[in-house]
Amino acid sequence: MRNAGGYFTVISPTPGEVRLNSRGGPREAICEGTTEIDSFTCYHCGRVMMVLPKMRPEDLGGLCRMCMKLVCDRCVGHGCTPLEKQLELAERKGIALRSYGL
Amino acid sequence: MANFTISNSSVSAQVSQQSMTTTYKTLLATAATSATTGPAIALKRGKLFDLLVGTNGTPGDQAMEYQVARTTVGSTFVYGGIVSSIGQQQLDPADSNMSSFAIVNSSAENFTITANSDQFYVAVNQRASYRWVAAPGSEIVWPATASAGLVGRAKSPTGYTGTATMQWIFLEQ
Repeated sequence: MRNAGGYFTVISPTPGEVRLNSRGGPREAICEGTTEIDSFTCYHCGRVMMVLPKMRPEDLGGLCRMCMKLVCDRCVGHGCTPLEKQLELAERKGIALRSYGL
Repeated sequence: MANFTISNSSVSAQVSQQSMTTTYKTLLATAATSATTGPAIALKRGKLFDLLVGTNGTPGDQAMEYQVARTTVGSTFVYGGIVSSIGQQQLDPADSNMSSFAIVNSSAENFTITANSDQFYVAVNQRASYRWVAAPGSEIVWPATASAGLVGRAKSPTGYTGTATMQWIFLEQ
């Protein structure tokens, strides 16, 4: 993919399969030796998603039309709350709790 | 910004690696903290950008699952000592020590895993080793909030009972 957010390297002594999505989905065959797969990081939750060859876009996730960033299948259709904003909220909450001595 | 690496090697961690079961075993965990045995330190964000996993037991054909998830670290975990004793290393020796704390080869699964928060998941044959490298800006980030961090776990749904390895390279800012 263009402008990949990272890449995976699987080094296997034998041909095999790899599953790259905790929510199920197809297994990807890997060859003997080194297999490389591009990835992107969901802009809303930070999850790393693998981009397999000829993968259907709807299986991959989607493009958020608010922030114009790639998001994972778990975040599609759940509004636009970028991870950066979530982190800032968590940090502000922590600062507030510490200021109260909690 | 300083870069660090930690692994669950028994030598550097000073605690034995845990045998795999059909439920997740924690290999590595890091979380932001301001508590320390030395001078007080500031909370910092962490960004995981390089991850290596594999097994170091007897080779065989078993399935392995590796996961990195968001966590809030509990208070009764068993860990390998303070940060300076578990073999974390600055990639640049001129940098200061890590301000996050690390837990390696925990023997108590006392982590609150945030639901649907797996940031990374892969299921592979135990013979395979696996590496993920993030491009700048695509790291897995944990907030500068006390006890919030990431946990790296592994399990074998098919019966591998050896040990697994995991190494992280991350930066703090």
